Amino acid sequence: MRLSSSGLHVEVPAGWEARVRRQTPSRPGRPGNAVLHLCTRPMPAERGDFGTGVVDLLGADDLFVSLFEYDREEAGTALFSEHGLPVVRPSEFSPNGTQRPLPGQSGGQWFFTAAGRPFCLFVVLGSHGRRTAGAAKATALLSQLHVEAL
Amino acid sequence: MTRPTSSPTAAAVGALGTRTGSAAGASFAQRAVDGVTSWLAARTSRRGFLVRAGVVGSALAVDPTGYVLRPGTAYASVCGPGAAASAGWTVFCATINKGVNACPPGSLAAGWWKMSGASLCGGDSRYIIDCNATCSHCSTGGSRPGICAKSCQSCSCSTGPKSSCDQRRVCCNDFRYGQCNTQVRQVGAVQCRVVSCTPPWKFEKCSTSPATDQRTVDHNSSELPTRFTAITRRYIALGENGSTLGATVYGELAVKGGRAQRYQHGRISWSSATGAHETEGAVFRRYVAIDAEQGPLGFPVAAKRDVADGRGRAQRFERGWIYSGKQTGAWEVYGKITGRYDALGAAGGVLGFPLSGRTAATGDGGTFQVFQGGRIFTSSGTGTHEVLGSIDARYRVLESARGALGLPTSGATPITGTDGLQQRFEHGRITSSEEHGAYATLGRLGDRWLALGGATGVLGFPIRGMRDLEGVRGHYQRFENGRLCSSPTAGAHWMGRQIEAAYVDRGGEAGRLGFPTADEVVLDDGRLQVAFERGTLTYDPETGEVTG
Repeated sequence: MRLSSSGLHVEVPAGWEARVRRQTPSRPGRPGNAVLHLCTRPMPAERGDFGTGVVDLLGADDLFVSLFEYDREEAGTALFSEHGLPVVRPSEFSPNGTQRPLPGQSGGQWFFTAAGRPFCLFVVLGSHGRRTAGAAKATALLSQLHVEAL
Repeated sequence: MTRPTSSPTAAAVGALGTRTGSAAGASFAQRAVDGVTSWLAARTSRRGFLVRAGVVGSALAVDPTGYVLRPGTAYASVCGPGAAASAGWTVFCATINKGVNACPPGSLAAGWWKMSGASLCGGDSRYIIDCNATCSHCSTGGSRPGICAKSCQSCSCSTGPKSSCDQRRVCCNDFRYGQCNTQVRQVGAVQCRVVSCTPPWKFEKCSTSPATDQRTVDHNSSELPTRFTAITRRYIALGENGSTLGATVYGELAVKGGRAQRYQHGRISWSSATGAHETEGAVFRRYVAIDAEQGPLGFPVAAKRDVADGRGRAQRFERGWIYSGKQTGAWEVYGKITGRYDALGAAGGVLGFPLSGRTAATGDGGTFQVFQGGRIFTSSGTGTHEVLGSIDARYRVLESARGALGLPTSGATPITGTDGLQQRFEHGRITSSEEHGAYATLGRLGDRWLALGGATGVLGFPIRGMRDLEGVRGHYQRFENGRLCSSPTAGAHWMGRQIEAAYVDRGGEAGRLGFPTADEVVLDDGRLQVAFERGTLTYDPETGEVTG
């Protein structure tokens, strides 16, 4: 299944659920930035942009991925100085690498600019011990993701 | 602290079901507080009751139905869900930063998220800002933007203090929300969290992209405000952390007659009669120094405003004002002094800004206050009067109200036909003119001078103060046109300048002539003469000679 919305295009692998939404602009007249969620579990309707309400549901082999877009003028700043979709390595995951660490889980963040749009890629693995496999799944997913300039 | 073991909930609910009359119009929370605190009062010591009642009150205000109807602790209701370290969330800054709801030193705002429909923000949106540690222990950044290595971070992982119900994690979570300070490539773990009802980009260097996490809407700390009140509403209107008040410091305080909230640089005070008004800066510091709401001024009734063509500011309180000039500091003016100060144009008038608070003027209740242009004295017996300019300078030399003159009994009044002024005091007066300066006249000498017409009489303005005489019982004073001498035996008598000069040459009051026994007289031949205790002096205007 292919999901295309808000300039994000992803071929959703079997067994994944994908949701994309536009953030409500904080200031009138601004475009709403995109938030893409992908998870190997069904996601509840009420969930935090960085996974609250979802990550509690992950099993050891599950993944939650959030691609969160920032205001366009942040593109190229020090935090968003990396260009293009990131490469996700197992060594870059940490049990403390989430907004709210949960036992056994692991998380990682990658800030970058793609197609002139600043993003954070946030990946939560159900098991830190299985981060090699988890990172491989995330890498496979990212290979199917394309960011389009708006 | 856990909820008492038997059934406070049942007791509270029971109380809710039975209370009528005056409580009928109270909110559910208020009635629940009444019920639970009554139940506690019957089962614990007074001290224990007060501590528990405070927490229970906060819990009921934040989440009344949750606290009364669900098992749990009052502390948990104050701090909201996920307050234990094991829940994984990060502590609030107020919990670890001496009650201050701001990023502590060594951290910076690194991102934020939004929650809607927050009771703590009056039903509007609430924001949480992550304060991440800096990477100050390393000079070079790591491989990718975001979070630096643990070894580089300025703090290490711990939990909130046991004294707080906010037991969440400190400097543990290596996470960055990413909307703030994006010029900083790497930050450390989230040290703590700031809460606000104002969007973060209005007071921090943050962008506007709104991350959301509704499940954290009731997260809070016992070191933060725990209710949405009129004070909160006023603080939001001022811009919260972005206002001149700065961040909240702990939660609201119950004060006699109302409530108050402390901030880094000010205070908001509320009473049902006055509403909520802020004090900040120098005015705030003075207000607190004089016991704030419990002091002589009471609650503020309006915001600070410019006065005296922008040379300073003033704020009105229930019973007076605080004036703050650019070079004068901030001082209160209240009571009867206020009326006199206002009548003289307040800070824009002759007195200018106050330079002190009230000071005791005498040992029996008289007080005074110093202003740029003079002083105001007040007592129940003498009234309230200003003392200005050269008269005030002379009054100070004479030890003011504690000296021989006592307290002023009038303001300064012009002396008809001259450029002079005079002011009355309990025991004398000070007369002032540009040519002769300001001098006091007192006692028998003063009375005699007045009887001679005062400044417009034969002697004119005083040109020196009254002098006591060594070795002789008596005193004298020099005037524009002569000298007035007084002794208990000879009485008070005057002489003109020509005879005065000869008299002084002959040793004056302590000389062989002694004190004058009569005023200077004009003889039939036109000569002037003064009789003394031991002789006379006669002045001949034709020759200019004094004989005797």
